[in-house]
Amino acid sequence: MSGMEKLVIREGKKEDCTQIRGLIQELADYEKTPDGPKISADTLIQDGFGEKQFFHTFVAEIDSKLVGFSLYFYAYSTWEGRAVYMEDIYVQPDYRGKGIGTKLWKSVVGAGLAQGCTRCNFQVLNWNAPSIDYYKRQGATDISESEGWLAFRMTHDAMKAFVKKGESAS
Amino acid sequence: VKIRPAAKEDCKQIRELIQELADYEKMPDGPKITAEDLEKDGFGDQKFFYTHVADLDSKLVGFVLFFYTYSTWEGKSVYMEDLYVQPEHRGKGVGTKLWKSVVSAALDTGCSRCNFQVLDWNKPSIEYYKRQGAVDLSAAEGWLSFRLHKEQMVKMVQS
Repeated sequence: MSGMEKLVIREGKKEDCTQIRGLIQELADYEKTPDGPKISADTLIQDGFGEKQFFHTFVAEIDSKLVGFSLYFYAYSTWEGRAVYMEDIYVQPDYRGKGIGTKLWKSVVGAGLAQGCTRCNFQVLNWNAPSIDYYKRQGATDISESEGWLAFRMTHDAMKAFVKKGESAS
Repeated sequence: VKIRPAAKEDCKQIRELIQELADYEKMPDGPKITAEDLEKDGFGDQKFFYTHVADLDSKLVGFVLFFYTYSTWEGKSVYMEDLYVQPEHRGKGVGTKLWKSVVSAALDTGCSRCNFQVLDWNKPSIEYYKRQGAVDLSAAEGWLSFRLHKEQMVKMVQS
């Protein structure tokens, strides 16, 4: 496929948010959860390019078209200190098998190392065998398997109910 | 017991509580960072985490360490990295007060999720988290946690 010589991997900009929102939708479709993404491109602009940045991105661009992205943020381990967490990594199907995903992931890891991070964490769905194999080939460990970690979550409604609980009694 | 945001001066005691939690998790050699690392990373120009502590007459009997994260589906979220209360102070709601203080701060910040992890053998904690309304996403959705350690990170960028 032509255009690979024009591939640019760079940090995401405010102006990329509309396209990034499009790619987020494609990734949700791939994960079989198309109604998942609730946020808009405007929210991405506000949260990623405002006063406090809640995330950072790298994008893969060919002739002004974004064909992939990675979204990450900094985290912390009380054991090993600064860590980088890769929330999303996605390359459009037509552009896979050319190392673009690996370039995007390397960019995140490089940014993490530059910030003094000693870990790169992420999650993957247990049915996503191709991704699991790829991550392991790149040296990542399944710590759910090796250490027994389970991912827990409180939804927004659960959070609100939780802070209200016992208020009258306290 | 007073629940309050931690100050830089609390880092030595927090480091000790981190050690106690690691001992409880049966991984005493886990924590490699120092109190100075906590001071630099939590109280410097760029804050990598926030903490609230349970203070009983200037002695810290518990702490919660958290930071803000992002979901491309629901936006701003909070991640609770550590929640710990010393054994002799348990059963009095201190842990719940610490957790609530994180959730409250997160709601004020506009977060729509509170995420955390728990070890699969830690039945008491699993039961407690579920009672408070949290869901096991590994069971419900099939999420697996993956990690690249520093050596693998260095190897990757050099390849």
